[in-house]
Amino acid sequence: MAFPGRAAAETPVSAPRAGTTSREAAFDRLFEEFSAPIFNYVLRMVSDRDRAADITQDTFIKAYRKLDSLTDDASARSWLYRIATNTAIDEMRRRRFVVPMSDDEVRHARRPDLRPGPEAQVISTMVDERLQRALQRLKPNHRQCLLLSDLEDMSAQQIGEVMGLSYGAVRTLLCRARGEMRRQLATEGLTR
Amino acid sequence: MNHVDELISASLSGDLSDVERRQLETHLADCERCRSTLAAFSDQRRLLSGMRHVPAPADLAPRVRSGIESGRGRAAWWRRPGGILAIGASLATAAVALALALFLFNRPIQVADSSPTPSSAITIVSPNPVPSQSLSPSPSPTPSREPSPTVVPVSNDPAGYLVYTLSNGNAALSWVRTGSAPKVIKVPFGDTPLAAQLSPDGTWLAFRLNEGLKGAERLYAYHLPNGKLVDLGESLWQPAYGLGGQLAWAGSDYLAYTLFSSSGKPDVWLFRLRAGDVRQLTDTGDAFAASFMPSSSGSGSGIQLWISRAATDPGSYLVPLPPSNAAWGGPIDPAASGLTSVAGVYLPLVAPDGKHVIFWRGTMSTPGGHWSFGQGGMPYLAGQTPSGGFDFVGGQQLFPGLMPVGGEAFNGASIAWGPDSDAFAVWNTSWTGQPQPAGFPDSMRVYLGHVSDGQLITPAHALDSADTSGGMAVVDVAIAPDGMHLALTIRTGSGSEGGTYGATAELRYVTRRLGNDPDVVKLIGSSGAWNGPAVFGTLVGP
Repeated sequence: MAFPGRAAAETPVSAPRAGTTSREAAFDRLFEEFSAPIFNYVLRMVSDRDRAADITQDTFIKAYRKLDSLTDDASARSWLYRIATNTAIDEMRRRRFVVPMSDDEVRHARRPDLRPGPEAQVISTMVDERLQRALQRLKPNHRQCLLLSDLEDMSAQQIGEVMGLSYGAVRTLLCRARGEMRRQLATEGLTR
Repeated sequence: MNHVDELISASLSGDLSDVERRQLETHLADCERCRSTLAAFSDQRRLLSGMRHVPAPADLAPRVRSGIESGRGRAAWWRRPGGILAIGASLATAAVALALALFLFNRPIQVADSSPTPSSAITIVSPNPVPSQSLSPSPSPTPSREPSPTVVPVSNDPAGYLVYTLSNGNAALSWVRTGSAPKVIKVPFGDTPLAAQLSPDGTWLAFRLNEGLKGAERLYAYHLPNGKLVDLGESLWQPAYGLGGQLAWAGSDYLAYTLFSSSGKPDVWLFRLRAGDVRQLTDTGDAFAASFMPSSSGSGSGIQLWISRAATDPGSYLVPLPPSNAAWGGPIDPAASGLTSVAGVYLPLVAPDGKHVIFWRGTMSTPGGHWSFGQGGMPYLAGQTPSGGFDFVGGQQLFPGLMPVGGEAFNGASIAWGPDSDAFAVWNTSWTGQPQPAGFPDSMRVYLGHVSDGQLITPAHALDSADTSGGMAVVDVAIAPDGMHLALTIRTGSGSEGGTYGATAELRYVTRRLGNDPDVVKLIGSSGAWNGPAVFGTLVGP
């Protein structure tokens, strides 16, 4: 089994015990196929490599626990992206939630730094940086549907399954997202 | 955005029907602007799909494996002892009275301890000591009006208000009782407050918060005497044109409100004060909470709630409810329950004394998935009949001079009664027809009418333009007991991240002047914060 981008790929994720069940084998296949795309999707959502890794980790732990609810292999992709999307939203929301902080907690509640800081270590090209800045200025739901459409090449139907929206609502949301992204790309000098 | 833009967008992901594709191709042949849009959207898709692939961290697999083996996820920083306590509500098995029992529904509620903590970050300005600023260079002439026959011996200053502050990157929501230090409300989710309603006995404050990151809302009830916070649920869509954001209290028994599901389906929910839980009243995916009949107040019996079902031809139902500590029978379909119903009437808002009701008529539609009026939407005022009902058929237009032309009328508007049951305010008007006259009705003006003034709402009933000047939107309007003072929450700064992070709002306390005298406007709260909404009434507790 090979884990993308990882040298020591021979160790299955979910098989710490001697016998590997079909459930664990199924989970290993999911991890193998989707861990890298999910990480990249989340990275574009939160613009921070460490946070993206944490969210991806939580996504697959949740997926393992809920694996029995996945009855149809064909819907595995939407199912995983839905977990990832919800986990990312929860993480973003909690990073800025409303509560007085003690000193040792204050660092967690800082507003996400949208400047090209940590993400600059990850996104090396100028175009990528400008794209990421433009993405980061979108509303989160605009960013999600745009990434699912243009980065993940999902249809409106599939995006609806991920985001819990109707087909028509996705088309409307996606159109608004494209319009807003067009304006943001213009400010980055990336449009014709 | 228009329909063609949506077709262009959908064409990129192959989401067009054959008919739509032909329609788009025909249009593109003749429209330079849309060809430019197609090119821009195509470039955008090419750029995004070509973003660099970043390898996942090398230790991701062992981290996941470790999490699975340990039976838990990462130790998230927000999980602190003494945080949110989930209290599971037990499943009831008895059928509820009034033949409404269908099946059981169980939903745990979340109660968070909210220790009142003074915050030094907020400077409070009481309404009284603030120098008044007459912002109006051109007051609108106010119709003369006989004083309301109802004498209400309570203060016309706000009893208190919510404030949302950002200081050094930290956000805090606080409750400010007029003349007292602010108390922080530890809400786990949500940011800028959109609406607030004080319970009739002055002990609970219900409020709606933006969830800017999701374009959603979170609703809470805050117990003023002991600082308990009840999570009323998340509404994943926001009401359109002020239709559906009601927070309706019934004495010390119920709070009724509307939550939208992730697919935009509204249903009515209840916070049952005696039982201390939250229950879903309807499960039809099209129901909105409107108002309680005033006989409900504090009686513990005979509680009746108006709910409306949105449809092309909407309708309303009067739902009898048992005392709020009765066994719960589960959600209902009002149309299947043999309830009193009124066809063609939407969102009946009953005055506190029960003698009048404001309601909507019109043909509804769901552009973008949101229910609003598509044709002929118009608010009406009706009086009580001798039998205790309302004369919906004989209702008069709330804007008597407005004539819907070609079906164009209101998409909707926000409407609230004053405590004196005479004053009412209308704001956020979305009028789709020709202004009649120019600039009327105006979405950025607040209209204050009185039942005792037979004219209801005309251009002269607009508050002065200066009362809302410099604002981006009127967020909330609360009317004082005398019907001539108002607390306006006016959004003044847009913020970021969905428009709520760092957004600012002014709380403007308006004294309405008669005749040609300009209204008097005082600012309440602190600069650079989101101040409001405010509530009027008598408070219990700190």
